Amino acid sequence: MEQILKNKEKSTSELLTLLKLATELDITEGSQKQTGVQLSINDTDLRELVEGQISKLLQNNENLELEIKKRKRMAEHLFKLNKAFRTLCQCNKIVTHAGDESALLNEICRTIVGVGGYRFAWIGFGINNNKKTFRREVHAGYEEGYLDSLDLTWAGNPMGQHPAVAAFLTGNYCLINNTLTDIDYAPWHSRALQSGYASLIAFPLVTNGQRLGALTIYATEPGAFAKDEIELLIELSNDIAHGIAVLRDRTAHRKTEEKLKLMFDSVTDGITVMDLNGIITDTNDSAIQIYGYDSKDGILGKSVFELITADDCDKAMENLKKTLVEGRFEGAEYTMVKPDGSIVPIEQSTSILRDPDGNPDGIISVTRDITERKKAHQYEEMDRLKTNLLSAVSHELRTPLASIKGYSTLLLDYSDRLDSEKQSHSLTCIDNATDNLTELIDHLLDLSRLEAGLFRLDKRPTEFGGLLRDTIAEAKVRYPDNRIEIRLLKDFPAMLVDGRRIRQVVDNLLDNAVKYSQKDTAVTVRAKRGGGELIISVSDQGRGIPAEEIEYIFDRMYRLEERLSENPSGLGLGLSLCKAIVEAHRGRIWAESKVGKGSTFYFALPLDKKKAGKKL
Amino acid sequence: MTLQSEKINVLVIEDEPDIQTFVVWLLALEGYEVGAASTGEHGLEMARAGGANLMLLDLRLPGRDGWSVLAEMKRDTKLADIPVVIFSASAAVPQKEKALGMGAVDYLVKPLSAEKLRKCIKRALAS
Repeated sequence: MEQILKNKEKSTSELLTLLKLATELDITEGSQKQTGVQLSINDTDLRELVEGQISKLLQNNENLELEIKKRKRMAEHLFKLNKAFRTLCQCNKIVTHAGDESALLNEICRTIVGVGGYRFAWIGFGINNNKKTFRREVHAGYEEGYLDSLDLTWAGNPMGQHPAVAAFLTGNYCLINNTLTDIDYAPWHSRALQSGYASLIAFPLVTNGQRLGALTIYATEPGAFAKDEIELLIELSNDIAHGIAVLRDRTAHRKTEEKLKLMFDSVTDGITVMDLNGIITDTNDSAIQIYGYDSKDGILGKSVFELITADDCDKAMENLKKTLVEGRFEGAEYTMVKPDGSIVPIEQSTSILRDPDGNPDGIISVTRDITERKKAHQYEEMDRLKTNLLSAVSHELRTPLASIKGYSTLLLDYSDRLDSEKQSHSLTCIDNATDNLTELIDHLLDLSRLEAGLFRLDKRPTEFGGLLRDTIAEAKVRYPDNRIEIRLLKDFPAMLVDGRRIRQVVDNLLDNAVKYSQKDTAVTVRAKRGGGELIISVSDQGRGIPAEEIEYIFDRMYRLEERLSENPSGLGLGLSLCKAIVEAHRGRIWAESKVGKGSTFYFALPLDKKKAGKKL
Repeated sequence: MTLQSEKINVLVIEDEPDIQTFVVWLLALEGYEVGAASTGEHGLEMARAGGANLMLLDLRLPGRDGWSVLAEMKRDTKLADIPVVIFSASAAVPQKEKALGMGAVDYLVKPLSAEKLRKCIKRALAS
């Protein structure tokens, strides 16, 4: 540029010199004496030469001016292109760093106006509603109510639409070089003139084949958008569309994630994610609660087997293996230990988690606290057992009542035909049945007291040896056909017990021993000291108790109906009463048995340390 | 061996000794020939030995219970004609219906007076 100006200056000064020369020549024609140079004024050749030179110089000057104008335009164009390029760069930066969509669009418009030097820019979206509104989202620059005057929809075909809508509908940019003369822009032209928009261009915003909207840019001069500038702006609008798509994807992704997290944490079942070795990697809030922890930190990194009781670990391990083989395992029940030591029954279903290639990546489990369900089941069971107990009690009451009713009506109806022996037998039966009834009622009362927590002992200092000997002596009378043997200590320590209740225990154990033994086998009662306790045992050589039943035999409700069908007489309440009595003395009761060999029932009472060894 | 008398023969299956004795005495006083068993097995043996005109059967028996005895009585064609009266300490209605459904002619609930038992035996024999 400078060179051009210098050239121009040079040629102008050359021209001036020549002109001056010519003037001087004219003067010398009138008064030759004024110049010191002697030239022939008739030299037409010289005149022609000068004129030729002048016209050449004038031509050159014109060319130079044209060149200057051209260069200037180029410079301006370059300047504008440079601005467009800077706009593109700046906008790319914005797209890369954008956090949310509306901020992105706002900044883009501001940059187009601020950096690009355009008068006005706006972005609108085609909305998928009934009216097919083309809604403006953001704008920057000189607006002054222009957008409000538009009220655009994208219904119908692109012909005759506003350039923004036309670009949106066609997917191609739409250029209005002169808002004053361009026929396509006639409907909006007066408004555009008011706002000083001489030319405009609208670019579609399209991403992944989806039309979003359009970016429209206005300039103050007509024909402001040159071809290469348009190309840069196309690139810019593509980048904006891409930026919007990325942000929308990210938002959708985040929303899905938030939704999943919300679902994850709001289910009442505990969800646990673990690796293939059972190490916990994630849990939801319910799982934390079920496992009895305060926060996730306490659980993460723990093995799932740490949470399950030792007894159930093998089962859990087995089920985990099955999950890995079969893909899922449902409805396993375990007991679990909470950090406070409490035991909770749980139900757990496990499924395999796979990575995108389909390889096992971990295990997800759904855990449910089934305490309530278990309780409900227990209540149901108790209810059922109570019903059974009631029908059993009714049966037990009816049997002695049948004796009483039968023999008394027999005595009434046939007194004259019954000999004295039969009469006496009848009365004895009535008497025994009455005793049975009384005993039954006592048992039931004791049990109900036990249930109501009203079971009280009447403890007195007792000569234990005497108590045992008396009890056994009575049993021998009761069972004259059985061999009852006795192996007692020589010296019994002083005991503070409820003698009547202890007799009840011994009686009950003896009754059972006799009931389940053959007549020619021995029933042995032993008493010994050991470990600060007095231990009494009653052994028989009867049919014995299967191992799987022995732990339940002291439970009052234990399979009553089954017991009743095998053991027609007696409610099976005796052993549970024995247990209650012994435990009320702070003692313990247990049984050892071998099927076919016989059973031994033990009960142990703690010895009073102060009086231990003293004879009563 | 032929029957020595024209007496009606009643077979009592009852495991409670006192109740068995009461029933046996009553029936004897009423002029029936009475046989008694304490177990289901023994009762069936006696029934198969012949001569019984009526069976009085307790339901809750050690070993083979009354239900099984009743089923066997009705299954065995030689025994099916002997009327069976159930004599039980269970007053439950479903039990009674079940027993009658299985072919028992009557269902008596303990306790029972001498008079009721008498009438019932007569009714059962008449049917």
